[in-house]
Amino acid sequence: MSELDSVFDAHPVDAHLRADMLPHIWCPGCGIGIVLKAYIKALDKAEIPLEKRIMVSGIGCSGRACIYLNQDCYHSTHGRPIPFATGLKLANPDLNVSVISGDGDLFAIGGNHFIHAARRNMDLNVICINNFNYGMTGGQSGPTTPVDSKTITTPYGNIERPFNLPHLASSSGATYVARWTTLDVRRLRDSMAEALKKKGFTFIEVISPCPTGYGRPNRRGEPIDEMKQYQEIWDLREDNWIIQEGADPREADIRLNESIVVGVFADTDRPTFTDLYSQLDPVRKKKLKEIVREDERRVRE
Amino acid sequence: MIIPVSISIVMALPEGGVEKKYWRKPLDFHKHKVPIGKVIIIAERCKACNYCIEFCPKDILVESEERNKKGYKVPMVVEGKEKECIVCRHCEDICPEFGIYIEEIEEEIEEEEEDDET
Repeated sequence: MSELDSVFDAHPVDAHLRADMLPHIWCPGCGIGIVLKAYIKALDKAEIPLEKRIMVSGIGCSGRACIYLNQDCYHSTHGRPIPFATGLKLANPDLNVSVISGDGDLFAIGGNHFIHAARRNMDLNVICINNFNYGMTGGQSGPTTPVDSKTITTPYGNIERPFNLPHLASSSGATYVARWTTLDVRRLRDSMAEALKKKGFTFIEVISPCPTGYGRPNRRGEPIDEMKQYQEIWDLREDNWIIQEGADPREADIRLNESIVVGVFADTDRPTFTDLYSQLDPVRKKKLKEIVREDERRVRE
Repeated sequence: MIIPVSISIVMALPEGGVEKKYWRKPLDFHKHKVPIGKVIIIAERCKACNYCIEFCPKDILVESEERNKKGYKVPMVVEGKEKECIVCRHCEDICPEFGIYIEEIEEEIEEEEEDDET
């Protein structure tokens, strides 16, 4: 808990929020509020000072997160939160930059930026709120919509194979890859704190209910029913070990009405882009000095 | 040699007189007390998703008949279960609206500390 908390008598998280903007615009039962709260608590747990916290969000429902958060935030253009975050990190490597955005923003229009930031191992924390569709525009099918599920643009069932996000991230070179649902609030918070402390490109996927966009055409009922579905998975876990430490991300595909594999998929160490870039400078200086000396010799001759 | 410790002790709790069975009495049993929390609901923010009601491990919340400004039915604590909150803060974490939180009742903790000293 930070010092600001004692100033307010209201909700313990209110010090980190623009409380006058609440209640927020997200639908009843939407998971973005849960993820935002977990993120705030994770920042406190990882003991990152307020000056170093920066959050970048894209376009979509989750883009509103930066409006409610009372810290340095950027609301970037569609699909481009990672380039914005990369620029911030390169300009000031001391900052702790995280990206909170949706699956449509990060993997449809911004997919290229994601894989290349992971390849370069930029020191960013990417949190993807996966609700299986484009929620804000009315529930169209997206890059993560499971096969056979219905959206307003796929009324007879989706035929496209969705992305397996942990596999995509780990094969692109992310150093920390995890997946949780919005029911695993504590594991999500601890995992986020771990990722915030870690150097390198970290990726956390959060499976979130979308009762208005995805739940309605698939007859998922009330938002509580969707959360109960996660709970059923949760109850099964002790027998089936669906929480897997170091599970194979290739087998983490999401299929309609089947159990979702959650857990930490990858946790490795690799030199980051900023580390390698800082090592470049002395080499360049040496080369420059050599060039200057050669020029001086030529002038003397 | 391992001497078997006494198995299954029936404990009588001083408050309320509810009996609880323990397979083995923990050595630091007297040091620990289940904390008691006060549930505070910010009614204006509630959107009646009912996550807090469903996932409370003690089932102390129910849907009330009172509606807030936007017409949602705000949850409330069941009458007679006001002191059953065990401060697990799961409702606080799972509420997407930043609308519910727990305050630990401090009087109980002070009593606890006094007990430890003696």
